[in-house]
Amino acid sequence: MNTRQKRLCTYKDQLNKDVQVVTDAPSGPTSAELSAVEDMDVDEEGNEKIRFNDKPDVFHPKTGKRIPKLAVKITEWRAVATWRWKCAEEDDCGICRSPFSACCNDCKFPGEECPIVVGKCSHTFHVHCIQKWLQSQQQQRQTCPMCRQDWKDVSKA
Amino acid sequence: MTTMTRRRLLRDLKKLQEDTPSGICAAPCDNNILVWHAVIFGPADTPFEDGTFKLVLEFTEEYPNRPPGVRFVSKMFHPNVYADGNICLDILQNRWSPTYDVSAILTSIQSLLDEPNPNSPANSQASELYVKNRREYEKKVKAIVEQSWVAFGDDKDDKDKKAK
Ligand SMILES: [Zn+2]
Ligand SMILES: [Zn+2]
Ligand SMILES: [Zn+2]
Repeated sequence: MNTRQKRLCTYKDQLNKDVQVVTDAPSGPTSAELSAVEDMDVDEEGNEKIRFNDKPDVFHPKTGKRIPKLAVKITEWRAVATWRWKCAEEDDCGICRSPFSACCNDCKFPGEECPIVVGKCSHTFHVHCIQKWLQSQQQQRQTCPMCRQDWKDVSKA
Repeated sequence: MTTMTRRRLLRDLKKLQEDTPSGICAAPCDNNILVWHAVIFGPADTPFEDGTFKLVLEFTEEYPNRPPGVRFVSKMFHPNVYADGNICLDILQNRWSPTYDVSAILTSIQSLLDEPNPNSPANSQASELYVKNRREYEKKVKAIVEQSWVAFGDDKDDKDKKAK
């Protein structure tokens, strides 16, 4: 190991496990900075550390600055996409009390099967939950369970 | 029973366990999640202080779109409580909303104790005394508070009978 000042960059691999990569890169690595992994060991905290290798320094041909090296080579990149409804993340549906990130108490999977609707009053519910409430109100006015204003679905507009 | 009602009642229970409002406890029967037993403690600095009033909540499969039936099992003396323990409270009737849960129902009943609604009398004697003779009203309330302690000990058999 050389004694140069090193910076730690933390990356998350696909398993969402923190892998600490020891590098002297002033900012995030670029493909040019990548070279083979020399060694990997585990520190006291159990974090896997990839040690910086001892290859000679490479300098930029024009600026003369040393090009930082990173002791890791990215051979594959897997992106994982997540989605959520366009509403506050922790919000629960006031009727079934399930979070909007999950489906209503009658469905199995969130998403297209169990959409979320917004009323004119801006209160939000699972479509199945508000439908059941409106049906149970029968001849009475159809009102929002939160504010008792007339319910009008504006989410399709 | 529908899973929807069942899941919602389990959420109500979880919420009660995680964030119990003061002076309230409630739990479903072991063998029937549609029947809950609850205890409301009389709010401090009111004539109901120190009372331990038992209630039964009976849900239908239409919960939360329909309110549960709620009644006092303990003897109650209150302008809005009928002799059979049934409660005259708008949110349990025409002002019901499916956004209410067990915790909200019991909290509302707890606050009704010291804030009776003179517009919906269910016990005419209590209503009249509350308006005309507060001292006598409070004396009657104190009496049912003391009864609530006595009745608390030999409650178990009574509860089991009612659950059946
Ligand atoms: Zn819902
Ligand atoms: Zn649904
Ligand atoms: Zn609303």
